[in-house]
Amino acid sequence: MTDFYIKKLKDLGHFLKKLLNRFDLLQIIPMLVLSFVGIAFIYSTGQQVGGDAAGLFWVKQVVWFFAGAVMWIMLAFMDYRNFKYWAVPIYILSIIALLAVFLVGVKVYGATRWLQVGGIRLQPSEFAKFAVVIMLSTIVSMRNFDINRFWNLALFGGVALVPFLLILKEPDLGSALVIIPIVVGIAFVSKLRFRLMITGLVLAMTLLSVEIINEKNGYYPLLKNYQKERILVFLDPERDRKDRGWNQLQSELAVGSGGVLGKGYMQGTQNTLGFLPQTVSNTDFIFSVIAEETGFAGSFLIITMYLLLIASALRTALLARDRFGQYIATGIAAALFFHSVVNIGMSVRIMPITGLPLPLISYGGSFMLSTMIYLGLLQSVYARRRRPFSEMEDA
Amino acid sequence: MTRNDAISTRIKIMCLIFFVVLAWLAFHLYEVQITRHDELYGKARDTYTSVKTKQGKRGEIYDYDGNLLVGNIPCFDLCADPEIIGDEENCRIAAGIIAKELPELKKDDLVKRLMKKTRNSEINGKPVGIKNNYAFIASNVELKTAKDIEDALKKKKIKGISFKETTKRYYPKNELLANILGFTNIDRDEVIAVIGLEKFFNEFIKPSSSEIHYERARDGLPLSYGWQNKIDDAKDGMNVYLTIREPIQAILEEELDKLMDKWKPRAAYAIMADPFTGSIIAVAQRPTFNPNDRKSMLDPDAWRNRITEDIFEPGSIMKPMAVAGAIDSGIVTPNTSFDCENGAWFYGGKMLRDSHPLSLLTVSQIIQKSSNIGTAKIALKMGERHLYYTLKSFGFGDKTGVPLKPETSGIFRPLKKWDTLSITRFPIGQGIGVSPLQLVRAYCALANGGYLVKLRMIDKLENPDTGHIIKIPVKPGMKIFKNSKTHQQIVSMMKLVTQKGGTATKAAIDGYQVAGKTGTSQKVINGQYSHSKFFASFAGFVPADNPAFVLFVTVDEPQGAEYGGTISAPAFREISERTLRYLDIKPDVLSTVVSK
Repeated sequence: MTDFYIKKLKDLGHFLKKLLNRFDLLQIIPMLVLSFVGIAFIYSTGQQVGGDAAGLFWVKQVVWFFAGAVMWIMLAFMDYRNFKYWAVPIYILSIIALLAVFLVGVKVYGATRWLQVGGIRLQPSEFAKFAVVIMLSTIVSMRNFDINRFWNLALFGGVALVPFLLILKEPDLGSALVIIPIVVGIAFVSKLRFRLMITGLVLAMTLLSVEIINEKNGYYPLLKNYQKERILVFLDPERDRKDRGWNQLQSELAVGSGGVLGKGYMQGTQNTLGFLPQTVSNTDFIFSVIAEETGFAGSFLIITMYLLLIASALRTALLARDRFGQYIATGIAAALFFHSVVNIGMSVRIMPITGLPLPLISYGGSFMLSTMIYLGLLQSVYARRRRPFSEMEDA
Repeated sequence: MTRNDAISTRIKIMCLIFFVVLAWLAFHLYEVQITRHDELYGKARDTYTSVKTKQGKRGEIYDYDGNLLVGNIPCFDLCADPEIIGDEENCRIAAGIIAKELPELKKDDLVKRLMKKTRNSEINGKPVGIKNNYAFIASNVELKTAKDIEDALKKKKIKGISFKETTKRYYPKNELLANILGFTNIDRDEVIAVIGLEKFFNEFIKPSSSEIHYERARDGLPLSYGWQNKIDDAKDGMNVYLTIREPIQAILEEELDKLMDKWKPRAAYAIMADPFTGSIIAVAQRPTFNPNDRKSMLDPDAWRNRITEDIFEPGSIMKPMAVAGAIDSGIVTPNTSFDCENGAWFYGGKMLRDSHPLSLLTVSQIIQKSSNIGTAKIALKMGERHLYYTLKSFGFGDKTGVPLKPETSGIFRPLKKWDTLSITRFPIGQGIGVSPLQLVRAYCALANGGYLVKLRMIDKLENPDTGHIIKIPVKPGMKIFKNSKTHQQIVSMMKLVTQKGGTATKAAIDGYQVAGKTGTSQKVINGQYSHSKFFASFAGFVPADNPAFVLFVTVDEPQGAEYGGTISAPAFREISERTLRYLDIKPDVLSTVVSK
C-alpha cells in the first residue's frame, strides 16, 4: 500500500516538476514582484489623494491584475501558433477599433484615446500594439518572406505604419512610438542587412531633422503644440517650470530625495505634499514615488526586475520552437524594454515626457491587461520551446 | 541548447544592447539618487518649506490720560496677477473699478500695468521673457474702499486682484501735536521712522518680526504633522504715554491758530510745562502739517521741529534770569535804584536804547517796564563771571533733555569769548541764541523756586503683551538760588509786569496773579538788527505763587505790531484762562474780582 502511495506521490512530483519546468520562473517572479510593487504604491499614492483613489484604485488594480492573470493562464495553455491564423483578423479588428476611436471615442484630458464598451473604458492603441507584434511576426515568419527585399520590407513597414499614424493622430505620441522598437526589434532579429539598417538609420535621421526644421518653421506641423512644448520643456525645464516643466522637475527632485534607502513607504514628501501632481503620481510618474520612498535600493531592484523580465523574453526568443515564436518574443521584449526605459528615464529627466506607463506598476486596466497578455504569450512560447529542459533531463 | 544561427546571434546582440541601456539607466539613477542626493534633496526641501513672516504691531502713542494720539488702522495693499486677470477687456473693467474708488490712480496707467503679461529676465545670460505674476496697484487702501473694490470686481467676475491685509499708521487727531509725534514712511515693507517721537522712540515702539519656517503642501497650506520652526517672537512694539494732555493741547493749538489768523506771522510756537516736574503739558508750532495727509507734508519747514531745532534771540524775556542772579547774591535788592538815562545810554562804544525813555527805576520797575539800560547796569554790577554762571545755571547753552532729535543747545558764548558789550547785551537777550524749550525750562526754574528741572515729554512706556510699565521718573532739578528769599522776590517783580504800568497788562487774568515777562527782539537780517521784523514773546506762569503751569508763546515776524505785550500776551491769557478752567485751579486773588 505504502509503495502505491509513494509511487503516486512520485508521479505527482514528477508531474509537478514537469509542469514547473514548463513555467518560465525567470519571467513569473519579476512579474509578480512588479505587480505587487505596483499595487502597493497605487495604494500608497491613493492615500494622499483621498476619495476614490484611496479606496478604489488599488482594489481596481488588484482586480485588473487578476483579470490579467486569467488572461495569462489562458494564453499560457493556448498554443501561440494559433495566432498565426488569427493575425490578420486581429490586425484588421485593431485598425477598425482605432478608426472607431475617431468616431465614438471618449475624450479624457484633451485626447481621444478611449473606447467605452459597457462600463469599461478600453484603449484600442494597446490592442493595436499587440496586433502589430502578432502581424509582423506572422509576416516575417512566412516561408518566402525576405526582409531584405524591397517589397517585403515595404509590406513589413506598411503594416506597422498604419496603426502608428492612427495612434499618432489620436493623439497619443507615446503609444505610437512604442511601435517603433517593436518594428526595429523584429526587423533586426529577422536578419535585416546591416547595410539596410544603416540606410534606415540615415533615412530616419534625415526625416527627423527635416521634421525638426519643419516644426521650427511651422510649415506642416505634425506635432501638436503641447507635444512640441513637452520636448522643448524636456530640453530646458526652466522654460516653464511652474506648468509643463513642473512634473519632471518635481519628479527628478523626488528621485534625488530618495538617497540610498529612501524615506520609507508612504513617507515621500514630493508625493505626499502634492508637489508631484496626484493625477500622475500613480500612473506616469509612479517610479519617482517608488524611488523617493525606497531610495536607490528600491529603484535598482525595479530595474533589475525589468532586466530579468526582458532577459526572460529574449531567452524565450532563443529557445522558441519556431521563427514565429522568436519574433513574437523579440517584439514583446522590445516593447517592454521601451516602456520601462522611457518611463524611468522620464522621471530622471533623460527622456522627454511621453505619457508611457510603467509595465505592471502604473495604474491602469488596459495596459495591465495587455502586459499580462504579452507575458502570457511569452509563456506560451516558452512552454512549447524546442527542447524543454525536462525533456533534456528525461533523455 | 540554443540554435547557433544568425537569428540567435542577433537576439544575443539585442540582449546585450538592452542590458547596456538598462545598466546605463541604473547608473544614472545612482547619480541622481546618491551622488546628487544632497543637492536635489535640498532643492526639494526648499520647495516644500515655506517661510511666513509675522510682524507685531507698532506701538501706539497716547497722551497722559490715555487718549490715543497715534494708532494703527487695518488697511489693504492691492496687487494683481496680470496672468490671471486675462485679456484687455478684463483689464479695462478692473482698472475702471479701481480708478473709480481710488481717484489718485489713473485708469490708463492701471491698464498698462495690468496688461504687462511678461517681464524681462535673464537666464544664463540670455534675455528671456517670463510670465509676470505681480503688479502693484495701491497700498494702504482703507477697509471700506477695499471692500467696495472687491465687491465690484466680484460682480464683474474678475479674478486676479489680491487684497493683502496690513496696518497703516494713523493719527486720529490729525494736526494735533503733529510736529512732536512725527511720522513714518514706508519703504517697501519696512517702516521708516522719519522724525519726531516716532523716530526717537523707534527702537521701543517698533515691533519685532519673526520668521516661521514650515512644511507646506503644494497648495501652500501648512502641514499639521510637518516639521515647523515654531519660534514665534513677533512682539508688538511698546506703547508710549506722553506727558501731553490732549484737551489742553487742543486749547493751545486752537489759540495758536487764532493768533496766526490775527497777526499772520511767519511762525509761532507755544509751550506749556509743569514747572515742578518739567513735564510738557502742551506744545505746538505753526506752520504745521497733517500726518494723515501726505500733501501737507511737502514742505520740510512744516514738519521740522522748530521748538527744539531753532534758536532765536529771546530779548527782554531773558531779564528775569539775570536779575534773579543779582538778587540771589545780594548785589541788588528789589528796591535798589538805577538811572535809566532817559532811554539812551552810551556804553562800550555803542548806544543802548529803551523803547520808552525812563529815568530812575527800582529793580522791580526795571523788570516791570522792561528797561534795557537798567538791566544792563544791574549786570555790570554783577560782573561778567557772575552773569555768565547765572545764565548757565538757568540751563542756557545746554540741552533740555526732551526726547526729540535733533536738539540745539543754543548759542551762548563761553566766558572767554565775551567782548565789552556782551555783559550789557546778554542779560537783555541779545547776542544770545536760545531754543524755545530752553526758555521754558528757565521759566520753570523761576516758577518752582529755583530748581532746574529736566524737561520730560514721556510719562511711561507700556509693554502691550505683558502689561509691564516703565515709568520715566521725574528727576529733581539742580538748585539755582542760594537765598531762600530770591524766589519770592523775583516772582513779585514778574507779577508787576502784568499789572497796571507793566508791559503785559493784556496777559492779566481775572482772579489769578500772573507772573511773566514780555520780550520783543529784533531779528537779525544780514548781520543787522531789523526794524521791521521781530520776535514777539511772552513767558509766564500762573497762579504766580503756586503755578499750575509755565506757558511760553512766541511769534516770529508778526504783521501789524511788534510787541510781545501786544501780540503774545493776549494769547497767553486766552490759553491760560481756558487751561485754568479745565484744570479747575482755584483763583488766588478774590480781592481783585471784588474790587472790580
